[in-house]
Amino acid sequence: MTVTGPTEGTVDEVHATATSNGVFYGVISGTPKPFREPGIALTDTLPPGTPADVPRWDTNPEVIEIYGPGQLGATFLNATAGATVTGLSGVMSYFPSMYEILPDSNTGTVSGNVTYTAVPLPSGNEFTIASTNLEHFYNTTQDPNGPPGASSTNVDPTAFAGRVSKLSLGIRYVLNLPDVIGVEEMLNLSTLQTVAAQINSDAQAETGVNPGYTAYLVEGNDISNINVGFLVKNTVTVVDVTQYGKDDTITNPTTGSVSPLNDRPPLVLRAQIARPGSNNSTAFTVIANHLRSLDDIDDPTSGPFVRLKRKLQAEYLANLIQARQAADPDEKIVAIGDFNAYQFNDGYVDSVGTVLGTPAPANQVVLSSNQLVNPILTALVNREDASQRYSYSFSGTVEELDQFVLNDPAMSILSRFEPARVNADFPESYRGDFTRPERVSDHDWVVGYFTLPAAPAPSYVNVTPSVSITATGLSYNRVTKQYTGTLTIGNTGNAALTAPLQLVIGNLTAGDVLADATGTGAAGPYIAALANGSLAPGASVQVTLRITGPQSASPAFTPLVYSGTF
Amino acid sequence: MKFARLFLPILALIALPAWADIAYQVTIDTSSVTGVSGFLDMEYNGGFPSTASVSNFTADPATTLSPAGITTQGAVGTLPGLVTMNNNNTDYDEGLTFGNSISFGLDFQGTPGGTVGDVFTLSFFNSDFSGGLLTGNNNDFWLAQFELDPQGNITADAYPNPSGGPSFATITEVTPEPGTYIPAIASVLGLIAWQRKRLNSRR
Repeated sequence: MTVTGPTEGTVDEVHATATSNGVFYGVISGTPKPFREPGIALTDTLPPGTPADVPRWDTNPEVIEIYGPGQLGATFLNATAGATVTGLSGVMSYFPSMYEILPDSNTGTVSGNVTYTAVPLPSGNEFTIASTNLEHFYNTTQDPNGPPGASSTNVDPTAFAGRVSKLSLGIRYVLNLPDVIGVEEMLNLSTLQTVAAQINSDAQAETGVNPGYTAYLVEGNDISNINVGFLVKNTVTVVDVTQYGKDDTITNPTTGSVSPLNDRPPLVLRAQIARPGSNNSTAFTVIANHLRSLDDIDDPTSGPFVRLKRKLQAEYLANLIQARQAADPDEKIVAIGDFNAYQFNDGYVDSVGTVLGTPAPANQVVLSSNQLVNPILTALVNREDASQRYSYSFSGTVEELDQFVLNDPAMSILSRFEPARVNADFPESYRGDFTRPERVSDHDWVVGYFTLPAAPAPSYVNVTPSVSITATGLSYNRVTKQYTGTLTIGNTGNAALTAPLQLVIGNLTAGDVLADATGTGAAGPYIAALANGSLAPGASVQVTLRITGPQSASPAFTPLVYSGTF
Repeated sequence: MKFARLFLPILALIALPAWADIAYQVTIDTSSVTGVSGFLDMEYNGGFPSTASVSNFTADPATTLSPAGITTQGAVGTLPGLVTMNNNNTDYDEGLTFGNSISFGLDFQGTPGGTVGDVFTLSFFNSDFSGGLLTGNNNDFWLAQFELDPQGNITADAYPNPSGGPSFATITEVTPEPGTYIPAIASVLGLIAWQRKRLNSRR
């Protein structure tokens, strides 16, 4: 058989480990990978008033559960999704709602266990946005700022450090250091800052380049103290980060009690990014989300509240996006996160369809919504290869819970969409191995690639023949280790020189560094000498020069003056 | 014709820019750091040939120079005696314990020209060279700076004190003592002798 759901286990959050329970899932090899499909499971009891045309899902009866502890003396097998199990014999059963095998002792061999699959490196004209559910990323102490009654697991300090390191491996090796990372299930800002510091430190030590991640997180209402936030790389200029909908409420249709609608309210990041050295940036907006889970959606008692909450949360997000695109039709909006909903109608509530602006018709869903979004949005999962449309594995069936939803302006810069296979396909027992990135969470991560705006075409001319350049001597400072002086650029021509004027320090002594460089142009590092206007004939402008170099040798260089931008 | 050959170089020398020998009296009020140990630092660097001479160095009795703590790069002589520095990235550092005041004469000689000037800077640093003393110039820690431009102008600047008030350095341009003309006169005479020898050898 081919494994479709990896070996499960008992998670110990305090020590960030898990113990295998020998339970995994598979199909007879050659059978297509079992995906979640639209509709209410055939094994669910339909709620009263369910419309007649609600789709039903067959629950993938081809999936077989291998129940390791079913017989005494059985040895648990640790299998990743995609592995092959041969030579397994045992008792076949049907419980609960699924075929299962209770393996005989010492039968079954696993081959072909896989390792993580990283997303591709972005090209030089792409930037990346990732969505990462980090599954109860708690810290060593309780969050002092959580909502009333909230609590979390106090993680053992050594285990916490190990889990942070494990996550750093995933961000660096599997996600390839995205420019923006949306995170879900993070305890608080200080914990996310610890993660950022670890990634920055690890990357610096390994590559010499510090990605400069900064953490952003605003706490919400979740009583488990899990929140959404962002890690933003230093390639990105953050405009602002704003939380929406924290104070909105919902009334329980069964009990009448009022509670917060959004346990993890949407967090909106507005930012800009440009190619290195370019001042032509693109503005974009990322909305991090973590909507209500599917737990108890079919429960006779709590089901009505769960379904209503999912519907109202989806409508809240839909209205938030619609208001933004109505206010600014050019705003590039990327809504990401754990939607806890499929890209199709689950029969109870069509959450993703509602956010997209394509809600299921009222006769096909228990709780329907009106169309709230126009122009409609695009769910990137539908652009993936069909075999890759999953981020989560549930009882051997895979499904996409982690969504990327884009409006048309964002679609105009979309380059590609890639899944990072690092969690959903891997056994729980990997959780405690801090030397490998797999299974730091239960959700796979997804990455959107977007096209950076082209850098403006270089437009500059060497005007050195039209100027005089005089300089003071360079004086060395023993504290700053820098030589400092002033260069005076005089226009000796008959015509004004148009700004911007750039002073290029060409042929600078090897090893010396122009400490106050504006950037590096065609002929070397340069300092912006005149930003605006022009330099009239006979006029001059002064530029301070700071060069880091050894005291034993005064810097040598060739000054040049260019008009224009590099 | 002989007259012209003989005296044109002399006329050229006479026509040198005004600061071919310009002197300053520099006085530093160090009373705000009395008893503190640190370093006196002088740097001279630039593009056209010139020399800076520090002479007549005096300090109040509370000031203690530390001859053992001298570091030089191209400077000739040690304080309180005459220190001569050419402008080839020359450095003179000397440890001291501050008293109330320091003063010295500073004399520049040279031939301006080209496109790159010279610069002489005076700084005082703390004992581990992690910061400056007596100055509010927190970028470069200079207390005084003399910019000698290629046209023959000298700009002397004394930077405000650390609180932004009047500088602890006082810079006064002074007329060179007659004795300081001796090297220039000797140079002129030497040049004459060289020209005469050159003319004679062509006969």
